[in-house]
Amino acid sequence: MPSLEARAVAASIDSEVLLAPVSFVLQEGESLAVQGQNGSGKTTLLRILSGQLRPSHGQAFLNGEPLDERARATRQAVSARIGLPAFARELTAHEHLRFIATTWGRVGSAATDTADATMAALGIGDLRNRFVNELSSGQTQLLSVATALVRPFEVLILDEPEQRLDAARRALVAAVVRAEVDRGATVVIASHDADMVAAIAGRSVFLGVV
Amino acid sequence: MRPSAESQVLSRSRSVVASRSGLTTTNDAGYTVYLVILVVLVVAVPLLRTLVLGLSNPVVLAAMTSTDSHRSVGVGAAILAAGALLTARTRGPVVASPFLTEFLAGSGLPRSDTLRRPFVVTVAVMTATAVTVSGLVVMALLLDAPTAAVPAVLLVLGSASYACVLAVLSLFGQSSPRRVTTPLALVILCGALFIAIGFDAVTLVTPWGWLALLWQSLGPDAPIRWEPAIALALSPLAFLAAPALLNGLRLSELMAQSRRWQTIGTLVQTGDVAGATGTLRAPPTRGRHVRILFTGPLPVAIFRRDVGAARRFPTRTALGSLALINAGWLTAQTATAPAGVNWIAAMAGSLLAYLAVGVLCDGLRNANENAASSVYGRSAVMMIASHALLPAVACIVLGLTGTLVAASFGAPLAAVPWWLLLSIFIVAVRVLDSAKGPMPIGLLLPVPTPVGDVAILNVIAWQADALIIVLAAAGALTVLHTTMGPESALWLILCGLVVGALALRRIGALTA
Repeated sequence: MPSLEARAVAASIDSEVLLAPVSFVLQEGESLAVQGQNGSGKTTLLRILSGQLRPSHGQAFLNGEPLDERARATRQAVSARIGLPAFARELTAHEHLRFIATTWGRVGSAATDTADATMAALGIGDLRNRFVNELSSGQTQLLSVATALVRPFEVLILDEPEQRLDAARRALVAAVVRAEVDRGATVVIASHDADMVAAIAGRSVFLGVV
Repeated sequence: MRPSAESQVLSRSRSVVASRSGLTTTNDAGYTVYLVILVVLVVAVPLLRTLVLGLSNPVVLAAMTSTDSHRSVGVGAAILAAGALLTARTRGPVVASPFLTEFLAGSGLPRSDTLRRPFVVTVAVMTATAVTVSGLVVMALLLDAPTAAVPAVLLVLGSASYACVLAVLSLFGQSSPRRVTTPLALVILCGALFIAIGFDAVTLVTPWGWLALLWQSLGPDAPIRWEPAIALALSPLAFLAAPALLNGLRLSELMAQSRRWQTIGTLVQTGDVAGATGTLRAPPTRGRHVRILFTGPLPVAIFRRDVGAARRFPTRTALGSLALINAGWLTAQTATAPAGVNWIAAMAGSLLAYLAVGVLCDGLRNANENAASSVYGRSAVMMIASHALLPAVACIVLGLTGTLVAASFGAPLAAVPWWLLLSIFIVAVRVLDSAKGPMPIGLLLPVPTPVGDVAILNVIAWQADALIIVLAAAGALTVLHTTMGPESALWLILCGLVVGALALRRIGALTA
């Protein structure tokens, strides 16, 4: 059964085209890089694939069901990080991840272990007691990626995870995401970083400027 | 650079900035004058008249002319002084636009020259405010109480001098680290405590004490006190320290304040009051040692998370808790206060409860901000409901404490069940407000009428809808509760159900 399918999805506002029609099918454990120039509709496509935006034309499906972020099935299966989340200024980095893990059913030490493992994998284990306002822009980006990884998912969607990261951190994020693909997750990333795309994506879709 | 050359550079720079502001034509100036005259005649004069009449109320007059009223004035003035020191790192007297701040403070000229004008503007505003407030009080006293003219004039002049002292204190607070200003503010507050308990020596040696002594001489048979008047008249000598303090201001601090207030101004103009007040809240830098356990069922885990988060802002949480106790006390007083003023207690109690419970709503706001994403593993409604637990419990428990204290002094126990209902209603309004989202752009569209564009009324209604609901429903029904009895409870429950339904609709819109 196909895991994630975009069937001629397109987006427009009045006569302004934000995303030209695009189609693809991703099976379980496959990864796709969405590439294109600024304004080609990458983020719009990711928002449609995460169920946050209803396409103007076509439809996106997860396991045969239309994607809709309001539906429990979509929320449980799809972890999307498009832009920075709304961080709580009163929680530390580690507490953010523990709290998210707790809301996904991991209780007590299980939530702590998950948060520890995610931070360690992304190389930010030493930032566990920092509040978000005490992180650099790159560290904030890594924490943002961590919020998507710390919860269970079948589909992982990341919008330009390389933003604000140095070369070593970009390679680290690529390795972590690749490991998720190898685990069997379906991954879609939008990226301008050729090395990251090569490390993660089995396939690419190029969007033209509309 | 020679001083004359410096002043020329500054003068030329200011003319560049003035030409950039686009408000230099005669028509612009004329329209501004026309607008000011209209506002004064249509809004300010009736408002001031209402205030004077309100102050002339026998209950208020009796409080103002009581034997110990000068102590209250001294304590209040000391609190203002401590507040000027403590709040200056959030908003000091020198705050210009980011462009001007960078332009003026970043230049090679001394900051005592470049930043003098913003400081003088603040001093003028503070002095005008002090003269207005003291003038209103004096007018009320001259109208309805046996008060001589000379002490009244001395009080107004003394207030103006005291405003200058406050401005210099605020400038000192803006240019000094908190480790210096906080102990100083505590010393001032200790002095206020001495005045409150009747240790009158403090009034002889402090500016706030001199103001209290000037107030004391307003009494019908009190002698005129020239010493505090002279001392206060000399207080503006504190301005001699202003150049050094202005030169001590750091560009980074000035820019941070400038950007913060520009953001707040933008948020207020676009109707995002919650965002604006959020900008004022300093991020935590301490309290990371407070351990937060996310154990138990999710609502319990979220309750613990919110309690832990509140502990990281101890001053804010303590002030909010005290305000909630006070709100419960005020609500209970509605039944025993005289008929003419009981509505003040009811309105103040409901309003205070609504504002105070906001300090415990950070989690609620965060849940709303993330409502449209799949960060959390539960529905937005579940997350928001769980985050409403702490405000609800705190409002009930702390407010009940206040009502029970009032009951021990003779207020009726009927306030206890009423407060339970009121707490739930107020938290429901908080949920409604936090799910508000950005202001619909349609509200900014012009609304042409014969008296001009009244679109601003839409914006005000949008900004203040929660406050209006609290005052119109909670406040008004609290007043009616004293005469209607249980029927008012049914009305409050009905209002609560409507607010709950509106909140659910707003949350649904956030996730759509």
